[in-house]
Amino acid sequence: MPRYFTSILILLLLGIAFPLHAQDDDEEENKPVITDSVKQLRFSFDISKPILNALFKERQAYEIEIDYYHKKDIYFVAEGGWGSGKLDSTYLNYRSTNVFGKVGFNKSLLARLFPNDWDMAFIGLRYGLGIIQRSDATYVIKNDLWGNTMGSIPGKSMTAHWMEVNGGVRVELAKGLFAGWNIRGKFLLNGKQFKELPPPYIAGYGKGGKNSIFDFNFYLCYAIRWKK
Amino acid sequence: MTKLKYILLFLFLGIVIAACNRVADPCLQPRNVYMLLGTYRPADTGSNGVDSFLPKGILRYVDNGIIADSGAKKNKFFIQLSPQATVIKLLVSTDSTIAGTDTITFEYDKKLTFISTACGYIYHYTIKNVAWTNYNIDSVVVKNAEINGAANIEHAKIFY
Repeated sequence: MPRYFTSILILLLLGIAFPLHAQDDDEEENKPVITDSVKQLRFSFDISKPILNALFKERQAYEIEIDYYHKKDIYFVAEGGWGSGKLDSTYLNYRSTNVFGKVGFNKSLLARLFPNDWDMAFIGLRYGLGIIQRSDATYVIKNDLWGNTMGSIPGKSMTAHWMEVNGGVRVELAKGLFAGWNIRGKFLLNGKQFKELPPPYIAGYGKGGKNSIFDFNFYLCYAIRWKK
Repeated sequence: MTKLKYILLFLFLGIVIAACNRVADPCLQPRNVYMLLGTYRPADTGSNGVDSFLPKGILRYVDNGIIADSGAKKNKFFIQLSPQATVIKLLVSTDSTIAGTDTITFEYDKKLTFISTACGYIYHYTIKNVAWTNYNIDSVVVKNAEINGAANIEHAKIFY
């Protein structure tokens, strides 16, 4: 688990080190105070998932994110999506589908330099909930001496709860149009439920059998803004 | 444009990271469990016995005639229980020159056990009962009834 935190920290530091805004101490002292006079609602779509879906047919996921600028560099975040996973191996064959939702917040680490400065490097926290349907599973027990044994395990509905620590950046490429990435350390809260025959893939979380996991999102975003 | 370069670099890195989280891993665990039998002479005291190395021990499955394990001057023998039955019979001979081959019959329960998504399921077993003939064998004692792949566990002792 500590290695995830270390990785996240390194990537956050890299993100902060990006030359998004060259700042020096003098500028820091002279920077204007930005009042939170504008609200922002941003819609994000994870474009890395369709690419991964095309590369790896055994896992499919679609993820969207909505964040709302509250005040004092805090963004409230809601995420959702759906997906599926399948395992076709010599010993096991089954599938799973799921939908998921997440809520949490991001805290920007970069102070805004001017009212229209919405670039951000951030850290955040999420709670995730996934509702999963696992299909019937067929298994084969291979035995050269006694012959193979086959059977099936009935399908099951399951619920996954997890927490996420995440960090990332958002950069405004054009007015209202952002790109950016999130890197996430995820920790399953009810791992015991997935000890036996976990879903092959949980969209929003990752591989079903793992209690902690590392994940990445790459977003294209569109933001709408209005004055208070 | 600089911003875009960094962003695209991270998209590439992210896909590489995510690609590491593959659904299917190779199965690297043993997929068979074995029952370990030890051969002993009764000790003067206690019930553990003293190792008895068979001159040329042969354990053969009655059902299919296949040799389960054999060897000269050997006192540990491995057998595989059948996942398609609940009883297994073994022919046990200590030496091909010695007349008299014993039969040991183990009755057991089997339990389907999930190992991992990579390896699927295997059977674990619990020995319920044991019976034997007495040409050479004095007695058979089940010491550990659970056969679950745990290492260095002797499941039954055969006393001569």
